[in-house]
Amino acid sequence: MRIGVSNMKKGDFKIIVGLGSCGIAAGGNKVYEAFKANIEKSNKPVTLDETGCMGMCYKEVLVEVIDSDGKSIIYGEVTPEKANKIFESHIIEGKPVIEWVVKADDMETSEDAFFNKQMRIVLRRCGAINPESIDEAIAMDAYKAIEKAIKTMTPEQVIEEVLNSGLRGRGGAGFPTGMKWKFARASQDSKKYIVCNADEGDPGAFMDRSVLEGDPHSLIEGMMIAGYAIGADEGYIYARAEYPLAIQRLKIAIRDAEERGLLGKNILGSDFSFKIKIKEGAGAFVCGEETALLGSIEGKRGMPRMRPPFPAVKGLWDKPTNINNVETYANVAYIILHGAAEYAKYGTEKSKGTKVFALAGKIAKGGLVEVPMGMQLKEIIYDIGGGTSSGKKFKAVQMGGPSGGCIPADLIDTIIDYDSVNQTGAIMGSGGMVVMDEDNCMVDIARFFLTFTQKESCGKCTYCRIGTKRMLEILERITKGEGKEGDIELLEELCANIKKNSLCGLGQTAPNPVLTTLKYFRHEYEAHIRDKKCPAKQCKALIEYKILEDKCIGCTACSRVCPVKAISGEVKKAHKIDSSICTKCGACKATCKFDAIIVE
Amino acid sequence: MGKINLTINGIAVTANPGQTILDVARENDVLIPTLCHDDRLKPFGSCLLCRVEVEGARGNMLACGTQVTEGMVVRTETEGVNDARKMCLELLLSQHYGDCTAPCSMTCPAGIDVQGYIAHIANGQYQEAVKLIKERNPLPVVCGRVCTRPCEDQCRRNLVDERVGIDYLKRFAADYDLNSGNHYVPYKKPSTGKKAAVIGAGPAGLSCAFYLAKEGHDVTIFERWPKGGGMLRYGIPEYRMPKATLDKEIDTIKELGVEIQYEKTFGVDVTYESLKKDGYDAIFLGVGSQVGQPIGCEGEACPMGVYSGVDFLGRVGLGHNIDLSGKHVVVIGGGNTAIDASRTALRLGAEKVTIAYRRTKKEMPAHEMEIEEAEYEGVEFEFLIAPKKIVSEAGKPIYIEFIRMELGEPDASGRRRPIEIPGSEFQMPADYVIGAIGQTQDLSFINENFKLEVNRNRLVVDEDLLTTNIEGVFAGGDVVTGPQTAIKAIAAGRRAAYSMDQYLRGKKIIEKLPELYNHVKAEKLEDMDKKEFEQYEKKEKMKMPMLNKEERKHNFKEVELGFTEEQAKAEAQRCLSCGCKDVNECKLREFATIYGAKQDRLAGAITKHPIDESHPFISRDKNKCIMCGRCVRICLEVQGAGALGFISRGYNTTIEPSFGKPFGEDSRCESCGQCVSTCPVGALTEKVELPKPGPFAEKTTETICNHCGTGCTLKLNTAGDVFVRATSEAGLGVNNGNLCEKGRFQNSFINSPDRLLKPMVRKDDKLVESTWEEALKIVAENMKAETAVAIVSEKATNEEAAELMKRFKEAYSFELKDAAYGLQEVFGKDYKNATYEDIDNADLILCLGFDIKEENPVAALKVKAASEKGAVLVMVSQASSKLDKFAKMVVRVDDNKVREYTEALTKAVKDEKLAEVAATLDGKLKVEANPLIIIGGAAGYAEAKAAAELAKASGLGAQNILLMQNKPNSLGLINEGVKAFKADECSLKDKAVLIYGEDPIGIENVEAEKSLKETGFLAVCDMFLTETAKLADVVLPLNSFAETEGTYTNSEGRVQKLNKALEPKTGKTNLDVIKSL
Repeated sequence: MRIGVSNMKKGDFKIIVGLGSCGIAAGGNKVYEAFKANIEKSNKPVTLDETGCMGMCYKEVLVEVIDSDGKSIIYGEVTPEKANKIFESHIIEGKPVIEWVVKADDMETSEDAFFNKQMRIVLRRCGAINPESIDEAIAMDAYKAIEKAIKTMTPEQVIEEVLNSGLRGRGGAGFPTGMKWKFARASQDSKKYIVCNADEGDPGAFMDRSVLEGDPHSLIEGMMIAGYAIGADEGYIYARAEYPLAIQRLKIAIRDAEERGLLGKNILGSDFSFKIKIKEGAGAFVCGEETALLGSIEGKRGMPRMRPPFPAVKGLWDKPTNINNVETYANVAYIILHGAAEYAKYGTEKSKGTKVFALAGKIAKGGLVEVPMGMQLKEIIYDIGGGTSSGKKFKAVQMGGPSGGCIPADLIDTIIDYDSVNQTGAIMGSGGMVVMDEDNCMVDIARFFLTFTQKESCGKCTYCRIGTKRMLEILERITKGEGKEGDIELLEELCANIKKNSLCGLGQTAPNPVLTTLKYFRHEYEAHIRDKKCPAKQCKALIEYKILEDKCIGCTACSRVCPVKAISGEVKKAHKIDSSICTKCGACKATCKFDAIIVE
Repeated sequence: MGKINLTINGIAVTANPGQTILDVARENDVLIPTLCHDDRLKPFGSCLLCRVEVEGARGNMLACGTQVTEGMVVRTETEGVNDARKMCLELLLSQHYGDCTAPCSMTCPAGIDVQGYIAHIANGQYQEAVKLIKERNPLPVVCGRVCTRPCEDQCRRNLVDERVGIDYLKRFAADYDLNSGNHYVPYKKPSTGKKAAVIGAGPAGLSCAFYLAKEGHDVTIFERWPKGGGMLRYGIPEYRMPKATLDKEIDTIKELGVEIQYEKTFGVDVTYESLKKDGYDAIFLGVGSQVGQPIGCEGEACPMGVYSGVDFLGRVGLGHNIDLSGKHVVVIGGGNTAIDASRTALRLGAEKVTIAYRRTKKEMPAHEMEIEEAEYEGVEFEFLIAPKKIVSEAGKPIYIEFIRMELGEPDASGRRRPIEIPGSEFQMPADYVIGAIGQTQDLSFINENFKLEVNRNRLVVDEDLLTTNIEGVFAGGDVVTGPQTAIKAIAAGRRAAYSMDQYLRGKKIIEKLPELYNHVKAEKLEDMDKKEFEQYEKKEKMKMPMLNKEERKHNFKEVELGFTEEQAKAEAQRCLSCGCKDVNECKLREFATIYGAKQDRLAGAITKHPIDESHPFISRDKNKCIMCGRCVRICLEVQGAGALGFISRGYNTTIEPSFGKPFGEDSRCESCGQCVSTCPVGALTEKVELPKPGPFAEKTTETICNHCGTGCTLKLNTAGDVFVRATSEAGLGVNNGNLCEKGRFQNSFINSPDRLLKPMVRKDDKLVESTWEEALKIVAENMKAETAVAIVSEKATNEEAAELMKRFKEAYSFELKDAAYGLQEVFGKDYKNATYEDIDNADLILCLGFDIKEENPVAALKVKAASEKGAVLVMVSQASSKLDKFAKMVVRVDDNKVREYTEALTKAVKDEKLAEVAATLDGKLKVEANPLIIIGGAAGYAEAKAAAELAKASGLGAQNILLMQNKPNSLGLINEGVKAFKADECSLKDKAVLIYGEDPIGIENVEAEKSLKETGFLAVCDMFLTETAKLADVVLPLNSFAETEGTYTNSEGRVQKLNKALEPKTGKTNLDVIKSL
């Protein structure tokens, strides 16, 4: 049941359009405008509202219709035209348009599986409240936890509670959050800082953005509790400037909280004061590394620093600083409010609570999901994600972005918790999951991720700056068919040294995509190097498009679609591809209706 | 605080809390390599070379940034650590583009430092050039004439216009030195009492003997011919290598105590047994390839008129009378011997000389220049023919039957194989035949008791150590390699000497000559990118003066006459100085050598950058940058300028001046050169103010900077009698290795050609050079101790000042500020001023009335550092200062109002209007807060007194005031009793005045000038003929500080020692000059 429904009159409706970045990208604003026009035209008592990401990004634009009984129906893939129809049928005539419903309180839908296995703690208010309304957030328990902490708990007790909850950092490495707070608390200084890492940079990860856009208050409250716990009175949110909507909503949330006396001096009449500033980052991936992030806030070039000293001892402007990411902080209020035991109910022995994943790549139902730790990988990919989008064989899932690794199909039974994922060679990371099917070349995937890390290396340390470049060059030559004997061994040597010796996490994890693909798909590397073949038929230098004479009926479709005129042949006679001209774009194959074009 | 106990590589050591692993390792002589750390900077962690194993730590730790803890167990040399370092270095090398050593030196079989000696020649230091050459080659006079000069083939100047005439330059320097009357004789180590025998006085033997003798061994050479030189004498004709000259060079080897016994054939007159019996501890065999190969055709055994090339040249060399007048001489072969034989034959009167070669001119092994000369002299060439038969009559040849050849497929040597064309036989008339088709070795000294291992008629040795299968017997040169070049034999002689030295000293011979890592831009000239050389201006190659064709006829006069000095200097200027200027100090090279890193193992794409020469003092070569960031950090952290920064990301990261401008146009740059001093590689180097920058093997001398009163220690780097550059490093002196623009870059006056080296006296109203005697006599006549006045420069040493004080009734200094008297007035004569350490510890620094950054730049760095540590800095000055940005408060007060301002503050303190003072000084002008008042610049008596009174009113003492002096020894002068000159108090009218090192007219000191013009007699001591000196009756030359010993007293009152880096250029020390007044 949604909030704000209690004061609706019988027959009233509330229409909520999903306007997270995913919704907006799918055309949410136009849908919103369509409903607005319908409401104005019909003069019906309908409230129109917006919300953040509901998770089903693959079904955007999502529109929720709530009636005065509080019953909710969510429509998926809504267009302005469909909006008109929904308004007409559902609002005016009282007949929901069943075929477009993706989720409803009293109806089973084909998409229920997407939600059934989820457990929403971090995303508890995402998609449920208007993120620009502090009242709606407060109505759903926002700021109750900080009140509880200030009024009934000592900072030590707060830390104890977080320790007991088993919460581990959701940014990547999974360091126990309570422990981090404890260190920061122990550092003696009159000035300390809380920093939130909202510099979500992994390709394919968007959970932090969704939280910022959908429920900024959960972050603000989490940071406040952390501030209270360690003895800091100031917080920085380091957010990517590429997240304008998130920043805008954060600013509104901070302003509203300040106006309510929830942020600022003597919060809720206590001695505790806390203010939050937003620092917009220019989008360098390395600034997601905590020490580089601190440098960037200080106005320096984003370059990682040596550790020790750790930020808990010498952080922002050399003051003790606690850094967590968005998702970590978003868990905190729940823990304080409901108690560590309630939180620790979820998850495995060493990984408690839930984890948000961004499902992307070749997955049928891409979006944002939150599941209890301990779930098997296959449950996420098949039960929630619906398997591959292509229908082809699932090959691997890349977890943890460029710092992570590829978990192959054989290991799909893997349990999702920090330690089990680490054992595969991948990392939990921020929770990006990029799904790959049999058409993905694993050497090329490794090359892709390394291209990213090399470009984003800050250039400071030798291993990362030059080492990743040399690795990339080797991968490039392998995918171009110029690999030579010894390349794999050289890659392994470079990987081992870069992983062990790089200055920061970026370099230390940069070899992971290569190491995991070498571990699970070594034969693909060998095929590229020795046989000059790409088993997935992706590496252009190693493939050739051919027309099967017996299947080609000479329809000329392929020759017409070829952008470089590489295909010739008479009508009704088998065509031929001139491989010296062919750019291997694949347009012919996609066009051919007779499966006459093959890749070798 | 208690000590910390830890172990490094299993050895227990103690350390102080706060020390890093690197600090402790250094203290205990454990090498932990680092490229990015400088003790003046905060640990950074970019090179990652210093990772070490720490027991219990997650991963390897960075030694530069990890503080030691009790019980720590550190391992710095494990296999894992060493492998990681090697890879780290190889990664850096894979992104490095440059030559450590110039390709000429790299190509030279003896590895002579060509770039170095050329630079010496360019700088006019010919003996230094020879000294450098003789480190690798004791026969430069010879090699300068006969070398096949592979160095020149690889000379990068080939890509601009024409190669540098390297060999001609070597010859010039060597001839110059040999004929100088004072030629270079190397230092010989004390006698070892060991005896070594060298067989053969050819290039290998002479070289071996030279290096053995230098090591202190007793060397005897046994030579079968009546004179020395081997093939240099008996193989190379007189017109190329005059024997008298050769003898002179051999004599230089004898000067080291080497004895040569002539006409002693090994195996006949002396044997292995006899040598052993005679107490020779080691034997070197350098007998060469003395025997000509037979032509291998029918009729060769003709008793008269058929000779091998070596025989023929040998007979000529021995002085046999051979008359070839009217003869047709045919020389068979295409090598240098064939050319030498043919040109010799011409000189012996032959009517016609033909060289018959079975391939074409392109394949001829002889040196191109030699072929050209032979052609010029009239030698004829017949190509693609081979002799079948020599037909003779009465024991003399008449004609040779040849067969024509054509070239087939390339053979093992890469040259196309000649094949006979059947039926193409023809006859060529010949009455004298010389077969110069190769030489072989006479190994007849080998027998049952002396059974040396042989392969293909060559002695078998260990390639690096040159040991044979018989202990104590070594061999090198042609006898090992077959006929090769002189320079290869010379190199072998030196290598053998290195092994023999170890053997003679009773050590196991394990070490070969040390080889340092060498980075190259490309292995071969043809692999170089020509574009890179477009930037160079074309300069015509100097032509070797030579006898013309007529002048050469029928005589053996030397054909090449040698460069003139002007030519040599001009040719030396053509050198591109390819080798890295930092080659002797480069840390990357040092560590690459230690860890055996390879340039190419991890090779990949590299970006080439143009070299930025826009800065007046600094050359910036990004191709060599390793991104350690030391320059960026020292510029910001220490200097506070922030002129350099990291740009771009990933592999493309570079370091650039602010706003991407050329370095020389970067307004933030303070030209302090701190970046150069910290750069561990050759990416940032000083522009040396010499015709050629070297690099040289420099001698460094620590001394005190000559520019201001801070008293910085610097190192003067010299090469021979030339000043090269000033350097410094972390930990050195009160300045901790920091220097400013003046100290680092403004010392080239030391080398100035305008320096006065001889006294001058006024004659007929003109200053003319004179002798010391005459000049000193005139001074003595005109200066009476009772009335004479000395005017002393603040650059004079304490000793010089004291000596002057002894001799003169009054002594003044024109520019001296009398601020110190102001302090004496308040605190008494023996007041103790604050020290630089007080800057470090101050909570308040009041920089009162001057811009310390301008006047005493390095002291200002300490002020900056203190303010960053938290001290409240208040800058009170007329002009804005670069320190203002570090100040809590900046007050603009006119220079002439400083006293008033100070007095107003004092009044406020006295009246207890403390709020006013607090507003300015943060309430920290009190004893507990360690306040420090710094004065200096133009401050005189009144300003200093006012500052002293301010301190006193606040309950402080002299220890809270630091008076910065303007000149290096201002305080020393005051302590010696020299007074500030004031025209209204001291008259120079009609007095005899000696000015010691000051030039008031040159700096437009009007008062001083007026006074000087009234003097009765004026003597000026100076380094230059200054405006003041031009007025003098007598001018005496002074030495620069680089040539002076003594002491300076810096602003703290610290007495510091000056050491001389060069010998006094004037021939007398400055102190001696004063003493002789």
